[in-house]
Amino acid sequence: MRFDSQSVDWFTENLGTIKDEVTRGAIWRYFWMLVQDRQITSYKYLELAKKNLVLETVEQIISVVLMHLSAAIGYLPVESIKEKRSDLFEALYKMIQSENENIPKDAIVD
Amino acid sequence: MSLAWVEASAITKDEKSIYALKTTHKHTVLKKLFQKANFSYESKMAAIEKIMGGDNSDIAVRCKAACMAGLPDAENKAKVWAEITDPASEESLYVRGAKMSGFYCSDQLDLISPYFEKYFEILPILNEKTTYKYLNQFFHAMLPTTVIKDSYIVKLVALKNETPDSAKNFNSMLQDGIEILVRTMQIREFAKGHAAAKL
Repeated sequence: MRFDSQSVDWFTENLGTIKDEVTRGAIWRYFWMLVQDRQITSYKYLELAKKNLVLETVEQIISVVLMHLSAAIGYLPVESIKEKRSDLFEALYKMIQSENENIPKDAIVD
Repeated sequence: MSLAWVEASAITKDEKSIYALKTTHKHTVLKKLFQKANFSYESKMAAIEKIMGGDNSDIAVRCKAACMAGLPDAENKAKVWAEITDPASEESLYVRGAKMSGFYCSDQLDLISPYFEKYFEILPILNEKTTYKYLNQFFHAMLPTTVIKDSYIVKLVALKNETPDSAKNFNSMLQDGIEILVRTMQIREFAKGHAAAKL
């Protein structure tokens, strides 16, 4: 399976709106493989996470994405790390504040 | 903000608790706090005392070791480096592992950069004088990936070439390190190139 750049951009904006959790999980995983294959940058993965993680409700997906995010930050040029960490912190803080009871907060804080 | 959360044992919003923090969460925040240069040594020690006090449990001891290793101070870094590279050390693997986990911090590049070079010098010594388990932990925890120079990869390749084929474990570890450095450097360069193209 290969996404063209238009699909990558669409998923970056809309991944969180896909209802089927297995499909969502597969796409999250696929994006991480794209980072490792240098088909998209680690910045793009951070953008995907920032826009879509706030809508994620599956604990396992959140845990895996956060693990990948930690690696994605490690892949960034050192001068970008502080700013991107801060962006991510704001996104996760927003998730913790969400009143949506389906969001598993333990997975975010742990 | 996060220090206030740790003191309140909760993540708060407008002074209202929205998530209760566990001990492990508080330890993670403390470790980060200790690496920061914009908090005084005194305020860090006050925070650790307030949060952990007389706690001598294993996880508290490890957390303190990681915190102290993270302090942004050249003399302290030299002391911790000597401790984690001493083949005769009697400290447990866990405590030394905790020190390794706190040692590197991307905000302290000026302090940690000298140890990137020292890392490659100490590897053959540790290979000769410590257990495989310790070497493996040290190798992966201290592999310098924050900033990667071509020379680091060359050093690992040279070390691998000097290692006899019979030392399979060490050879495989070195190969693993070479692959991690090459992959990280390529992904980082790719991101840098795209960021520059956008400007």
